[in-house]
Amino acid sequence: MGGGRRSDLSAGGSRSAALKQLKYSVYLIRKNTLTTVGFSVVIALFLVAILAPVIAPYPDQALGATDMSQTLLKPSWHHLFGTDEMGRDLFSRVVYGTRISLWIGTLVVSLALLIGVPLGLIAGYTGGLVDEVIMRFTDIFLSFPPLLLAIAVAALLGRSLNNAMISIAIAWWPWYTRLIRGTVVSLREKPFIEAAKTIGTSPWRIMTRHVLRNSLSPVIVQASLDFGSVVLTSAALSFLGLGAQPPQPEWGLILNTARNYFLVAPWYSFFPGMAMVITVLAFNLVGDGLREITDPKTRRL
Amino acid sequence: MWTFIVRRLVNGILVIIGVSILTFMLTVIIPSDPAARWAGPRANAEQLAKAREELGLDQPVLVRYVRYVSGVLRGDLGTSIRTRQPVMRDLKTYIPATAELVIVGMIIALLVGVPLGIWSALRKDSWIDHLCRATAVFGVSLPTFWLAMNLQVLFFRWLGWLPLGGRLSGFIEAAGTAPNITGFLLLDSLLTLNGTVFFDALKHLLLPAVTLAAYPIGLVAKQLRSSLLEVLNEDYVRVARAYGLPQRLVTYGYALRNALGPTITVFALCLGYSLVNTFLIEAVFNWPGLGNYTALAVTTGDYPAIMGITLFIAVVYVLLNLIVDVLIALDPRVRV
Amino acid sequence: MRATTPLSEAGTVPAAPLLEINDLQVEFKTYEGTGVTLDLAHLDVFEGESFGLVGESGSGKSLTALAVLNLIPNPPGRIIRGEILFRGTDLLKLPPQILAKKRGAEIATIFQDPMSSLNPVLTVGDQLVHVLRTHKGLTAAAARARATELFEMVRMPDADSVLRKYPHELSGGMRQRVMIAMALSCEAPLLIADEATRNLDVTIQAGIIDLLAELKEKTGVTVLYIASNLSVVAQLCTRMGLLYAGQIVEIGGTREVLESPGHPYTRALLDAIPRIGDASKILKVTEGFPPNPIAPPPGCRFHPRCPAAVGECSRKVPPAVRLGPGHEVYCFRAGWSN
Repeated sequence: MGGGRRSDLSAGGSRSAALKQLKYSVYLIRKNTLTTVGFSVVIALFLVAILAPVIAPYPDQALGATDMSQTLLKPSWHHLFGTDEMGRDLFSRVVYGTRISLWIGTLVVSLALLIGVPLGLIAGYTGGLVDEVIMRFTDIFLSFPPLLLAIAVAALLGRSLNNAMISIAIAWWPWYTRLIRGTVVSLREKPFIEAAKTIGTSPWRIMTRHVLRNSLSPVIVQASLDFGSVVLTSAALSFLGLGAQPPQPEWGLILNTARNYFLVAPWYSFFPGMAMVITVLAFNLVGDGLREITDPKTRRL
Repeated sequence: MWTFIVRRLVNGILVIIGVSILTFMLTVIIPSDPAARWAGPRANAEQLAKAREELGLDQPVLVRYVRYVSGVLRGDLGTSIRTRQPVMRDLKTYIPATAELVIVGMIIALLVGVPLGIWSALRKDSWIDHLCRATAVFGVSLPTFWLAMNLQVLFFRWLGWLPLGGRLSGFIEAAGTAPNITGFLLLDSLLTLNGTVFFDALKHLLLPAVTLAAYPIGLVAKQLRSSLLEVLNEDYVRVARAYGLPQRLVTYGYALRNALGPTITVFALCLGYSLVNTFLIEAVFNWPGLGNYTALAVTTGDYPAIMGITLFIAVVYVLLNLIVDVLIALDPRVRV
Repeated sequence: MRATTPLSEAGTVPAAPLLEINDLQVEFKTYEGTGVTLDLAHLDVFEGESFGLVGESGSGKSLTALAVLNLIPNPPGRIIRGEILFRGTDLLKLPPQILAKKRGAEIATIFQDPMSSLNPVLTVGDQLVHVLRTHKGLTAAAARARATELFEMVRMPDADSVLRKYPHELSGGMRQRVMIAMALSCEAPLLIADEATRNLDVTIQAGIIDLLAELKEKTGVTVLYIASNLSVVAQLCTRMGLLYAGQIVEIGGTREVLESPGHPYTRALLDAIPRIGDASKILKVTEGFPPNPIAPPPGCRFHPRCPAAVGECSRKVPPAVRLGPGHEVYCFRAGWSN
């Protein structure tokens, strides 16, 4: 189509072109209601996490203070989600749990990216023996059952949330390596990379400036989807007693205790569960939305 | 094609060796004393030393590793410190329970997930599409143990239709009438034409399998929908329509065949994820499978058992990857 | 709707056209707005002739082929009005099952990218057989035999073994022959070729063009040839029409249009073709770009770039002006030359 518009053809792009792309992305996000909902919920969750001390009516109980006179109360105006077996306000605990979950997601995904992406980049771009060695190494970690790893780390370093996060990060990075290596390998042959090589650009510069920029989108999509999976996995570990330890208000841990009171106090497990579902759902929606947006076929600009 | 398979197999063996080394090192580092466990809580120093010698713990690490590997190649995975049985026999006892659960769960996942994906792609943007997508997203977002607990409440406490846990009802277990040929209860009871056991096993299998299937259903439906939508926009589908080929042929013969590739890969990958879920499900439903065995093995520092389990899982992963690679190579465009 | 005049010679009544398009408008929704990308006032294709529809990229010509088959992707495209009469029946009003029967059997299409037009996981033989069995109801064996025959008709080397090959194993020229074979398979009266030689290199192009000409002679099929390449149309077509910004600007016999173009756009196109022996050093290019369909210029869509434009051109939509028998131009300055 003509009309006097020229599309920006360079691999890097000028600043105004980048801004235009960003505005277009935002437009696509808003067009898709589900993705908008996802983004809004994620933003809301981060706000809840940051403002936890303000939102929670009983912040000290969230962190462990008990009140044995108020055990296992049904939801009421005083205690929106009811109380647990130690009399602690569940609403406050769930709110503080948001902090923990978001912290886990951010930390683990960042760590996994930090390890996985450079490895994949180097493997994909360099090729040859380096590629083989890195990929074998990655395969080994991929075949390692993540739960076993978490159990081993827990046994080795003690059971704590931080150790659980380390083990999840160790189990997760291979996925990014594989993902980015695949993209890099297909990009490696593209003419614009050859052109860069021809004019003498150093391999380091090629990798960071050209290759990385163009292979990041599937990684970003995967990372947002993984945020939810990581939260689920860490909750699973806490559920098994390997992650967060009492009295931390981590959702998985709360659900673990709630199991025992399922009959007597069904609300006990309902609310933390719902909190988890909403969080994971929101990140999944965001990830799905990002995937659609970054798909070149949907971007018709 | 055969060279391809051989190459992938060699790769797999290297991976298994790598995993075994890694795990072995972990078991060496884990600070629990298997000798104490073996000798018993009342052992004195002399008995402990003897136990250590028996278990070969006094040898250098490399020797221990080599000994272990030679044992494995003969089919001997060592003796479990906790159960005092050969690990191989322990595995044979517990694996079928988990395997049956996983297989049935995955079958359910395919039977539900594939149609969901196809329907939502064909009726894009309709209410069916939104319903299917919602189901898929929920499937991948629900915490397994939460889902398991709620299903128990619904089907056991409120409706009373299905049992709470275990593989078989108490009275059958007590009577000891359950057949045990392969360890797969459904298969065994069919082979021995034992109707009571079959239906009882099925009832017990239902909730755990459905819980397990939730995540794969979501994943398969999502992936299939997106692949199918992409393929439906391709030129050759347009050409097929331009020549008036019947709708069925276009959907299944032209579109679906091209869309299945990524879906299969994703499905195989989530089998790995299901392993974590299986542990949780076995915990909630009191299922006597590998999950329980593993948890006990680790908490008691039962390193032969840990090695055996890890090796088994690594082999499963490798085989799975191999199958996926072969399936992908069946695409005529892939030069192999 | 723009005024039209009958294309016939005064005094003679032509046979009803095989394909008649009236007042067809297709709109497309994009991020930046909605625009009418195709606006065909009137187009006739008569039985037995070969008609060439010429336009540059984005002029809407491929949309014409898709519109006839009612395969315009929706979203983002949509037919807002018009009728497409094939042997008198309005295709746009037909229920999907009946239309599906006509596709392939009565209207066969060859698309421009033979690689992506074929299903990568099926052999080309299988795909041809599917079409044959759908429309001709042949048994598998009979269909395979007929497929081999068709391959021989399109001069496919080694016809038998090609049947068993996958699309990626064939060269571009061979793939296009497969598409032509498919188009011939049902003996459809109308063949639409949408830039059938575009993605082939020049020597292969020549072969395909010759093949098409020969097949037309042999079977007497009516061809609607959609192209951006004037020379192909000049070789193959008896009548031609020019499309600019979704609208027809000139229609007539190929010879008349190319020798005495009536529309400034046509003239500009012809002037831009470099000729051997021409001493000038600069290509005669027309300034500017085709208009954005979301905000087209008022009046004649070409007027901002037209060397002959006058005041009227920017105010009113030009009507059809008859320059000769069967030769019509939509312009206020029809017949202008510099």
